[in-house]
Amino acid sequence: MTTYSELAKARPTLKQVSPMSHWFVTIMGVFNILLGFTLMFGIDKNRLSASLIIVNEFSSYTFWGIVFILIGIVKLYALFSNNWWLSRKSLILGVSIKAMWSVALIFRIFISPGTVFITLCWLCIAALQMCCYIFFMPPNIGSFNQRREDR
Amino acid sequence: MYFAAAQSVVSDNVQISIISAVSGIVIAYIVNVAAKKVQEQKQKKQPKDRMEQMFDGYERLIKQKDLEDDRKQRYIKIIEDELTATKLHVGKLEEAMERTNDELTQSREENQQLREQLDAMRKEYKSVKNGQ
Repeated sequence: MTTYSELAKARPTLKQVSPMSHWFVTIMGVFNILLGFTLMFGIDKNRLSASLIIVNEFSSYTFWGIVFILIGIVKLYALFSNNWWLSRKSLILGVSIKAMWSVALIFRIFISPGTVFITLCWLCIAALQMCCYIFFMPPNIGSFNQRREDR
Repeated sequence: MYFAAAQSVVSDNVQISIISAVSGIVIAYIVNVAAKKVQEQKQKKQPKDRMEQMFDGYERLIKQKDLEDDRKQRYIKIIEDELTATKLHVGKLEEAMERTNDELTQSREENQQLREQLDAMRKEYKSVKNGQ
């Protein structure tokens, strides 16, 4: 067993410190993987009446599918290895991409109306992730340990 | 002209994607800053433990002693000023006393001379009167 893994085991888990963050990261990790596979294999492009704007000639559905799968895997790996720093970074990366998609979907409403429902659902998911990051995610293991020492 | 050329190269969808990407990064930055501020506020709101309360008590005591010391310092300064003024006054009184002593000595010497002159004049008058 390496020193790093020994240290990781000695740390309190995210579930012990902030159960809500733990479950949110787990759910979002699974959701991202499922979404990624859906984008890669579950879309029949011939049946789409309009483009998704964020999916264009530079970024395809496959590209975004891989991105979401990778983020999901990183989230679950961070939980498995008890790496708070990676959990935080994967969550903020997810916030960034979800915000990116949200803005594109909002543009999509004005350019070609009819996707308000999907946009609303997506905005809710993005807002939930933002709230989780702002209010429930512990800062990092270093400051947590420092606070414990101060006490 | 350049803008029009760029527009022809880059499609609307890509432009909107770029705007979305930049917005996404800006929003993530704002969320990150907000999270830091919330953590700072949480840390401020946490109840203090006994050791921290004891340290605060010591700090208050030190502040109180500092205030006492300042008051003493001011009192010492006032006394020093008073002492300086009193010393000056004593010096002036000593000078005045010395001057008065000198005047007294001089006056006594003058009186002595006048008395001697008077005695001499009386003797001279007696001798003149007896000679007649």
